[in-house]
Amino acid sequence: MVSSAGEGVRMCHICPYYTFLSLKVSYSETKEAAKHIGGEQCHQSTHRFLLLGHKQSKMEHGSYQDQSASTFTLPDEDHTLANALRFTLNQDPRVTVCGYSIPHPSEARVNIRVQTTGDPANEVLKDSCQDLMLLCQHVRSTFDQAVADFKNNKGSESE
Amino acid sequence: MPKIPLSDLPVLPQNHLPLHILLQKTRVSCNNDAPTNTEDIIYSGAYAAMGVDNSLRLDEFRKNFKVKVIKLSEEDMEFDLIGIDASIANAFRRILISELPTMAIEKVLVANSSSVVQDEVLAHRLGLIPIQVDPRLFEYMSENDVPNEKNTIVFKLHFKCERKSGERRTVYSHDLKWLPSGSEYMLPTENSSDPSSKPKTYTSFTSSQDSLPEFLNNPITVTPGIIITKLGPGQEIELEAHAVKGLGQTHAKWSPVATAWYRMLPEVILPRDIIGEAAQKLVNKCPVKVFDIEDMGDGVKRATVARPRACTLCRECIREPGWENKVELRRVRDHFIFTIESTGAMPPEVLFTEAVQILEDKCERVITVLS
Repeated sequence: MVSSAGEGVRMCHICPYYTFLSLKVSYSETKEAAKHIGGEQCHQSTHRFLLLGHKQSKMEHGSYQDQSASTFTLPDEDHTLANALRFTLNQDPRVTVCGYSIPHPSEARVNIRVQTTGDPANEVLKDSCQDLMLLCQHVRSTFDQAVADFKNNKGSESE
Repeated sequence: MPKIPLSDLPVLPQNHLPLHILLQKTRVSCNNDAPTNTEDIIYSGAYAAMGVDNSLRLDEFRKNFKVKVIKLSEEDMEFDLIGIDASIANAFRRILISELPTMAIEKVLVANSSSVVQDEVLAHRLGLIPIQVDPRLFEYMSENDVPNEKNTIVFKLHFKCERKSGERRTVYSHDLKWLPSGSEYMLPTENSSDPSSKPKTYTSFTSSQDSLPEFLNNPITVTPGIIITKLGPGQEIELEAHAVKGLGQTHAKWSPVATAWYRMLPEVILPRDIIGEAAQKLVNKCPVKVFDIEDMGDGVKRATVARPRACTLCRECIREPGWENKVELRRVRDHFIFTIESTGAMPPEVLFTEAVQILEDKCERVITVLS
C-alpha cells in the first residue's frame, strides 16, 4: 500500500492525496502507521472509536489493549497546527513514531499518529500541546519586548 | 571482510556532535545542482548514539531564542526570529495570511450603475479594498444574524460624471463614504399600505456607530487612492457596500496582510582566501554585491564577504566550473528573516502577536478536548 517517494515523504498508490510527511521510521513501521493514519477504512475490531463531544471535537482512534498508540483526528485544522505539533511531538523523548496526514484536501481535518514508548498517547499529545503553548508564550513576550526596545531606541534617536 | 575487534573501532565522540553532523543539522547547503540537508532533524533520539539529546527543552529554547526588529513602520515590518524551528515559523506565517480576521466588503447593493464595469466585477473590486478599522471591535455575522452596528460597516458610493464636462472621471476608494447609521436603502415591503409599520432598511442598527467611543472622533475609512473604476460622460454609479468580519481562508480579501513571508539567513563562506584577479572576478559575479575586496598590504587584494544578508542564493558565484569549491553558500536553518506587510487594518507588530495568540488558542482547544 505504501511506497517510498523520496526521502521522508511516502505516498500511497491508491489515493494521490495520501502522503506522509517525514515519518522517522523504518519501512515496516511506516506501513503500520500508514494503516492507522488512513482513518476509517482500516478500523480493526480491537480499536475503539472515541467521539468526544460534537462537531468541534477531537476523535481518537486507538486500541483498548494498547494505549501507547493512537491516531487523533483534529477537525477544522490543517498543516498550521499539525506540522507544529509534529515538531513538538518528535522532540518528546517518549515518542517513537509520529506523523500527520490530511486524508483529503477538501475535507477540513487532519490525522495525527502518535506511537509512544509506553505512556498513553493522548497524555503525550496533551503535553506536546502544552509545550507548544509555552513556546508560543515565550515567543510572544520576547517579540513584544523586542518591539518595545526598538520603538524606545527609535524615539531616543530622533530626539 | 576481516573482523575488527570492538576495541579497535574508532571511538565515537560522546556528548557532542562532530562538526560535519552539526553542519548538517544547523545549515542547508546550497550547491550548484540542488540544495542538500534541507530536511530538519527533529526526532528527539536522532543523535542518541553519540550521547546527544535532541529533545526540546524549554529552558534551552528560552535561552537561545531571540527576536531582532530590523525595520518597523505603520505598514510593514522586518524582524529576525532566531532559534526557532521552521514548522513553528511557518505556522505563524500561515496564520497571518489566512486565520486573522479583518473587515471587508461582502455585500454590494447597486442602485444604479451605468459604468462599463459590470456589477459583479465592481463588487469584486470593492471587496478587495482594505478597510482601516480594528476588526476586534466587531463581531462575526453568522447566517441567521441581522446586520447591526456590531457586525456591519456600511459605505455609500455615489459618483456621477456630468455629460457636459465631456471628460472621463476616475472613481477612487476614498469616494466611499462611511454611513455610521447603517443602510439608507429601504427594504421592499409586502404591504406598504400599512402606515403604522416603520419602513425598514437593509440593516437594523439600534444606534449610530459614530456614537461609540472607538469611532467618536475616528471615522472609519478605507485605504485611499485605489482606483475603483472610470466613468465616461453621463455615466453614474450609486451603490451601498456592506462590510463584515471574515477570515483569509474564506477569501483573500479578509487577509490582514498584503503578504507575510520569511527566508532563512544566508551564510556565505570562503573556505580558502581568494586573492588577486579571482577576487575581482568574484566581486563582479555577484549581482547583489555580497562581496567586497580588502587590501592585505603589499598590493594583495583579498575577497571578503561583506553583506551576506543581501545574498539571494542565485548561485551565480558558483555557476562556473570550479567555483563550487571556492565559495560555500548555506542557509542558517533556525534563523528566519520574517517580513510582514500589513494592509493597514492593524499595525504589523499587533498582527504577529495576534497570530501567536491564535496558535496558542489552537493548542488550548486540543488540550481541552483531550482532557
